[in-house]
Amino acid sequence: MQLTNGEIAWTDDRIRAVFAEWAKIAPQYITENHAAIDWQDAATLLVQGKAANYVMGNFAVPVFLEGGMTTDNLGFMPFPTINPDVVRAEEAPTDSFHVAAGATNVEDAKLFMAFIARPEIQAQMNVTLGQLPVNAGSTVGEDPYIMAGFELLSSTEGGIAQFFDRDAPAEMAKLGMEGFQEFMVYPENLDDILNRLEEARLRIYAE
Amino acid sequence: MSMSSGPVITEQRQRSWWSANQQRLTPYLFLAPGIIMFVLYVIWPIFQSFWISFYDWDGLRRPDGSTSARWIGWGNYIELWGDRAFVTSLKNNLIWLVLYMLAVPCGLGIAIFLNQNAFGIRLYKSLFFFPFVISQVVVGLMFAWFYAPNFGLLYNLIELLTGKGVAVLADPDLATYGIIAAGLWPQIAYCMILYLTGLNNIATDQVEAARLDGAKGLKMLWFVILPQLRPATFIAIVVTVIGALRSFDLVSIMTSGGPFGSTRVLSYYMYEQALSEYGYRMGYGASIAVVLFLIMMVFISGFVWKMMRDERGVN
Repeated sequence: MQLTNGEIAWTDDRIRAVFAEWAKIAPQYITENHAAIDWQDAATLLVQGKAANYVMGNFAVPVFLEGGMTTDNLGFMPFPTINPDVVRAEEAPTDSFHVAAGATNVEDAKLFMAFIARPEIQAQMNVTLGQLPVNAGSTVGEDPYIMAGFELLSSTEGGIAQFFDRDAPAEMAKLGMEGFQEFMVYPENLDDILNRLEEARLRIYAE
Repeated sequence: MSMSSGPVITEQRQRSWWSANQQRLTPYLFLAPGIIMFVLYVIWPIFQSFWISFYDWDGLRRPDGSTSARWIGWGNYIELWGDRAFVTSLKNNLIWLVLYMLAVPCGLGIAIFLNQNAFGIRLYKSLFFFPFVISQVVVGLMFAWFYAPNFGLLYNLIELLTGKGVAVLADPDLATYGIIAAGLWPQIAYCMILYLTGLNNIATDQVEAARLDGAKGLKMLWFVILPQLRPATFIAIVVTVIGALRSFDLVSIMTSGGPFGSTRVLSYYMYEQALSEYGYRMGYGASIAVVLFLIMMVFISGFVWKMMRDERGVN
């Protein structure tokens, strides 16, 4: 959060520590040529048994199941803990409702939002959508992956973040993701990438 | 008497003014709709872009209608100067411009090859013309699958021959060339059709006279055929230059500017900055547009100058 708010330098030692962990799996344990593979094609690799893990949202599950995977060989697990001193936090991008700044009927809009956030309404809505309800008091449907995900998020102590590209300002997000992609292929460029991102941070958050 | 004669006289005068000037006015009247459209939708936006490029603006207005734009003078251009992504785009545009020119000789070669009377030649001609008919988006998708790792035809072919596949679009050093190759496919077809129509109008007496003088092969092509094809060559170069500079669809479809921004071209970078999910910097986008416009202007004014010179020469 501090990083995406522009409060920490990209060249900070804590950031370098994260990249050092990442460098243990990049590039040799990441699918080759990933820059040219879109998520559907990457799903094929998992179905074919050529890939073992896939960091992906619940919307990818139907693709795996249609590809012939079953609950026997498709599971869900939280991201492995690297440093036990850090409390567990999760990334979970959420759809949200907002009232426009110039709205004429703010009172009723607030009433509607209070209604839509109620546990039973959330439970009902997300049975239809096939997604996780945002209210921790809701119940979820039968789907084992949804149940596991709900269990995971409801018990998170460190809080829930959106994705990097939603938490950071658009321009920073774009540059950051390009930097990450480059790092996954050329980990040796790390210093150049971080310096570049730091320059961008100083410019973007100054505005 | 005098009351009734007044209006009659002015009406006659009006009619005579119209009939006296009819010949002179008519062309302008016919031109007016086109000129109005051109000014409104082409000239005006160009100046608007120049204007916006001096502002820092997210493209929105406040609820009360006032704009949130902030005047920053040459700020956007100064930022462009130090922007690595901009330099990459500019460099890629140059590569596009140079390599796209291959379409002209290739098109000529195929046109000469197809300019013969054989059984079913019309079918072959239309098959060669086919890629130009397909939408650029489809061309991009087809080539993206052609290059795709794990299942792409080219990838598997290289893997078969060398034991290790090359994913063209995942390699920052190769991706731009991969996209240009995809772009050349329809562009060659276009140049070919221009040359085919040109070849239809070759003066046979000149060819025969040259043949009597003993010219053949490359000499014949260079000294007899090519000079007669000059109008076709001119048009082919013009469309190819403009096609190379406005290359956007293929980049967008095949790589979205990636891997890590290495295949961006100016038009795509402009779109990214001003209109895409990660953009909304209207001023910065406009300044990229201005740079692209100035580059195009060099070529366009060159072409216009040549055309005017040719017309004067004919007269």
